[in-house]
Amino acid sequence: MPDSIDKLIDLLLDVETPVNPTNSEPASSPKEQQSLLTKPEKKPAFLAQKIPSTVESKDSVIEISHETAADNNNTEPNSTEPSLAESETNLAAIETPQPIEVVEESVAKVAEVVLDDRIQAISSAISSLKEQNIQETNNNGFSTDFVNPGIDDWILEKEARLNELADSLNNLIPLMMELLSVKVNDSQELILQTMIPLMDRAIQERSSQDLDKMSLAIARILPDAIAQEIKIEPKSMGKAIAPELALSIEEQIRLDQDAVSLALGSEMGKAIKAQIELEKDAMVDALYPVIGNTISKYLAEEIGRINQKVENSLSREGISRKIRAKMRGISEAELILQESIVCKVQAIFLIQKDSGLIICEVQPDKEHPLESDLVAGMLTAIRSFANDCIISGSELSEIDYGNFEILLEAAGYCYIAVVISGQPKPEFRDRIRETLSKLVMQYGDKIENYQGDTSTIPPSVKLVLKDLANIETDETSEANQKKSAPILLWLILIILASILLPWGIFKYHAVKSQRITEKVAVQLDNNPQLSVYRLQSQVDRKNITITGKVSSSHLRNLAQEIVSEIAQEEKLNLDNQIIAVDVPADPTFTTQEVTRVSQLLNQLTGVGIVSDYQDYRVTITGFILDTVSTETVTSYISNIPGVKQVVFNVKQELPTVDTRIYFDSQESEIKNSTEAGKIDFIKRFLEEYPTLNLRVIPHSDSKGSKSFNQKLTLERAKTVYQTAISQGVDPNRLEIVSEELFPPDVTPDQPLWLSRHVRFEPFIPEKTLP
Amino acid sequence: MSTVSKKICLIGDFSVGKTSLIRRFVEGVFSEKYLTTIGTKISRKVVNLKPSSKEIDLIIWDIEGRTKFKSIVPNYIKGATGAIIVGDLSRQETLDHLPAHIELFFQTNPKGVAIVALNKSDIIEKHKLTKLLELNNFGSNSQIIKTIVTSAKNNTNVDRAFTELAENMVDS
Ligand SMILES: Nc1nc2c(ncn2[C@@H]2O[C@H](COP(=O)(O)OP(=O)(O)OP(=O)(O)O)[C@@H](O)[C@H]2O)c(=O)[nH]1
Ligand SMILES: [Mg+2]
Repeated sequence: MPDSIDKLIDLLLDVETPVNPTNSEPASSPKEQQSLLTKPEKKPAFLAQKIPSTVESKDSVIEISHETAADNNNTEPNSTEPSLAESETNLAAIETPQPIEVVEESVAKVAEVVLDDRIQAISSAISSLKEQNIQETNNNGFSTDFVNPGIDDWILEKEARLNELADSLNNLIPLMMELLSVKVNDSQELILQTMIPLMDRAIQERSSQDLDKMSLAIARILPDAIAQEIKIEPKSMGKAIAPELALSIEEQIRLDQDAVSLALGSEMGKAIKAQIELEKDAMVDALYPVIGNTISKYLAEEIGRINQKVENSLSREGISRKIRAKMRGISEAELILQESIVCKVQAIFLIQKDSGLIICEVQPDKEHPLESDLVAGMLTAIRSFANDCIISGSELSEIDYGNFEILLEAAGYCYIAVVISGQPKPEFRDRIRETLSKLVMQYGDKIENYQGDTSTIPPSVKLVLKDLANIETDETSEANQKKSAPILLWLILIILASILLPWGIFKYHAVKSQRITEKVAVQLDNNPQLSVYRLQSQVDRKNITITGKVSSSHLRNLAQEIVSEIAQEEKLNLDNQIIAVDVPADPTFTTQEVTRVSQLLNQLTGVGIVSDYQDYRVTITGFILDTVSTETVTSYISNIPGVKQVVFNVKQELPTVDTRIYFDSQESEIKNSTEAGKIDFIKRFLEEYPTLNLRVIPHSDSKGSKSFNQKLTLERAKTVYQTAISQGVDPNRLEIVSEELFPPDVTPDQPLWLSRHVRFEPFIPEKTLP
Repeated sequence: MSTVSKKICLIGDFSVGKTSLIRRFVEGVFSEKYLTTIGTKISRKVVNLKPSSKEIDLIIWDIEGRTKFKSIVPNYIKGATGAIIVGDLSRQETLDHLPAHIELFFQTNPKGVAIVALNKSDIIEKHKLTKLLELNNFGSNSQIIKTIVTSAKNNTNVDRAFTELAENMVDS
């Protein structure tokens, strides 16, 4: 029988997931409880990945102390430690839905065993376990409920609880996916799963929304954005103008023949005009690869790139995140975020411009394909709407859906739509252009004459698109850069050299080694496990030397692997001087990460926390209203590299506010200084609880008509609101809510004045990410 | 053999039953509720053409009848091989506008083909039907395959309208 007892014990441990011990305690009780959980070894699959697993060491500890008013300085963390095995199983049980199935299965098995007349053995197992549990948990309150119940009842009850747990998990998981997918690196399928229905809906909704509003919204942004772009960043101008140059010329000719003829020379003007009169789209086709891909655009964009490089080589620190952030004009944090999202092509469509029919498509993710015909049709409709009704002659180039982006690039009779998740590198747009011009040059006629029969399109079109789908390995974009620009690059370098004469002499090697250093840094940084460490590289004529400290030899080898590829490409030797020691992660990074993750977690309902990181320890204050969220918060925060300890200083129940501001009959002005003084309390409350806001809820007595009282109560709420604001309360932290006219807790036999008040109710505000 | 995709569109005044015809054809349902279409909505259905056993993937563009942006309509119907031009038998003015819709379609798609659907036949008395059909016949235009009386509500001739259009599109 030892087998089934083992099973049973496993089962019991699983089932007895610690529904938080303090749940049974009234929140105001001064009694304190603490339990120590070992850090979970596994994290839920969808939470895993990006966070480097550098602090996996068993000895790191998470403290969870559910605290009330009193402080917890004199508690002994170790006194209530449950067995290692138990806490691990506990955590495992709530990680994913699967363990629950397993448990359910075991329940069934146990039931069999029971029928098998082995009740004796089992109940002894239970009671011994029970004792053990009681001892271990040191009267924490959660094992008492299974003293001597009938075993069947007990199993039934547990089953019910399991189902509840499963339910709440099922509800929570999709939500968390959405909120936290930003962090997910490898579970792209999961993101996709959640996104696809959203995308379809978004596309449909967009089209069914009020056209006026849509045009208004877009029109407001567009002209400004364009003007701004041109002023600030000439390279964007290149981008914006290049693909449309051909079209613009055509348009210009239509509008003002003379001016164009003059500008282009009468011969050329006439020729173009004649050609355009013959066949507009063919002309665009012809012009696109020539103009779209050359001088104006490259000049503008290459200047931008060279600028970047010069900026790099002038910096003493070499490449640091700071500079990269500055160059991209975004905050450092945003950069980290951007780089932590792996960019992936979800789909590429080559679409006939007029009909919206798909000429060719590539969808790398075969499991969740987009409904391509419908997407293509809708995109075509949106595109033509935007292009013709909002600003004619301009081109819709990008549609944003949360973490998804659809990049559009048009030429001649077709356009390419690339559905992409994450942030593509700016160079990616160039690759789309290149691909499109290649396709238009080679297959322009096939595309023009496309009649909806895909067999008329050569298979090589698909290969070209597939090529485009394999993006974002840095080598390819680097390689492209090198290939496509040498002449202009030199031209501009020469110009720069004459301006920056003092640097001229070092220029070549500086640029080369700078480029390699940058490449190494980017590659190392792109690896989620390595990005936290300060690894440096130096390049001389023969060697790439990498230095720095990482926390394991595995990471050292990882760095070696990554850099040796670059070394091979550049025909340099690799000197790996990275030292593997147990070094802490960069505290600035950890601080940022803790803040960022906390903000994400704050989007969960019932979570309003502030995290403070100091000496490897995160102290979390605020409110977490349910146990599952506590687990989530724990697993997230504790998995941030550099975090060894998580101290919970959170409350599980919102405080109540007893203060009420009373009013005279039919009055909405605050009646005296006593009542006015209560505003000060509100102010202090909000200061004390920075993660909570207050609802302002007005009531009236039963005298007077309903409509009069409705108006009156609103006035009362406004008075309180305004007075509070005039005393320095942040208006965003108050919310006027009108509920029942009469307060729920005042009975008719009580004096009328009791009902004439404004009361307050704390709540955790819904937050959006900054 | 590969499936050929073709774009078709439904054109006509507002509330004549364009959306209803498409819903009947694609989803097999009808609703009395009137939700005006804004912009355009795209649906899709694969049709098996009987004699040739060819397959055709119809990408159906449902275009708003009540358009404020008149200039956008040509953009939506561009590149369509076929169209169903819809009128409401119970509202004379929608029938009066049929020629304008027909002209716009053939202007934009000179090689296209079209079917004229006189919809909501279920609320018209039998004897009036023949007369109305006579009055609104576009047989003289060779690109108009036929004029047909339909009802999205009773599912009269709905499949036929779409299928005949589809058949004529592969020939062309
Ligand atoms: N009796 C009857 N009513 C119909 C029929 N077809 C449509 N309707 C009704 O007519 C109204 C308008 O139908 P829709 O299909 O939305 O009209 P529409 O042409 O798409 O209108 P817009 O989108 O505004 O251009 C709805 O209330 C339908 O229920 C029909 O064959 N018989
Ligand atoms: Mg409609």
